[in-house]
Amino acid sequence: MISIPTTRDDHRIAGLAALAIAIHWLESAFPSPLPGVKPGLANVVTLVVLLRYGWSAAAWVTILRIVGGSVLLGTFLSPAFLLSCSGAVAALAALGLGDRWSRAVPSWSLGPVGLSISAAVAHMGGQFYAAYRFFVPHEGLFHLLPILLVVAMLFGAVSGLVAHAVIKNLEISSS
Amino acid sequence: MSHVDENSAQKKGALLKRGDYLVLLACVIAIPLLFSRYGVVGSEGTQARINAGAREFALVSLQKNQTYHVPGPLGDSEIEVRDGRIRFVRSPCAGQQCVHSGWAHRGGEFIACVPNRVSLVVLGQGAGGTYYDSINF
Repeated sequence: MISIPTTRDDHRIAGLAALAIAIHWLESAFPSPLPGVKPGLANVVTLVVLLRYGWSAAAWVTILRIVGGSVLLGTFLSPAFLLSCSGAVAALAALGLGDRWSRAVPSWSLGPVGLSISAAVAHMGGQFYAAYRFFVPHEGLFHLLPILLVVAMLFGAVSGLVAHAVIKNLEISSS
Repeated sequence: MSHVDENSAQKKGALLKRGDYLVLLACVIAIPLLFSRYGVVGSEGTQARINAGAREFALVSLQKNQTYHVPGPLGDSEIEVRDGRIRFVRSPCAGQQCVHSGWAHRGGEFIACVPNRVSLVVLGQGAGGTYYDSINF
């Protein structure tokens, strides 16, 4: 039997990704307030991982969530999957930039709420770009952009607030 | 730049850090800009343009009740014009959000079936006119 050596970090990432997939899956069962838009509560897990274990752990959890989630929901390699990937790449880039910014300028560092809003807006932007570039290359799509971005800001803020509460509780329970 | 000691706003456990206020400020500035650039509610539309992929499929009058079959990579999307309004009646996509978007009739209103690459936009007086609708993933 072949066994691949795993580290504690691998186990932690796997466990957190499983949690994110579960949230992702549960969320998909609820009707959306605006067709095609989801609150993205699984991103709470990404944020908590980013702030506690760093960007690469957060990137791993996100990639595993998207692939695992899409296999569960039956959207793997479908247009929805492509949109999801574009959004995730943009969101991870935004989180990476935010993380660097916080290190470079600690007195103006970003907390979960700022990071979450940036990531949500980037996610929507990435998805929107992919939809425009690959599926519906029509300027009419831009008429949807303001409302989509405002919804992204709101949902991003909500996820950020939840992440803040989670981190606070983790700090209390681990100290 | 000298490093300022973590002030009260940066205190551990504070809900919003100083950087978060910058993000919120950017949002507050961006929202009106986005709406003024892309979103004006239009008047009643007279025509609609149906697109399949990057191509224009048809320019249709909203005065003429008719059903159109628009081919896409997944199959035909069925689009109906009735009493000055237009909608997706049937779609071969999984999400069906184009169908759930319902009727469009104001200038600039836009409905897309992203998976099937079919979209429609209502043309009205003042082509910039827009009313929001949903995007279909």
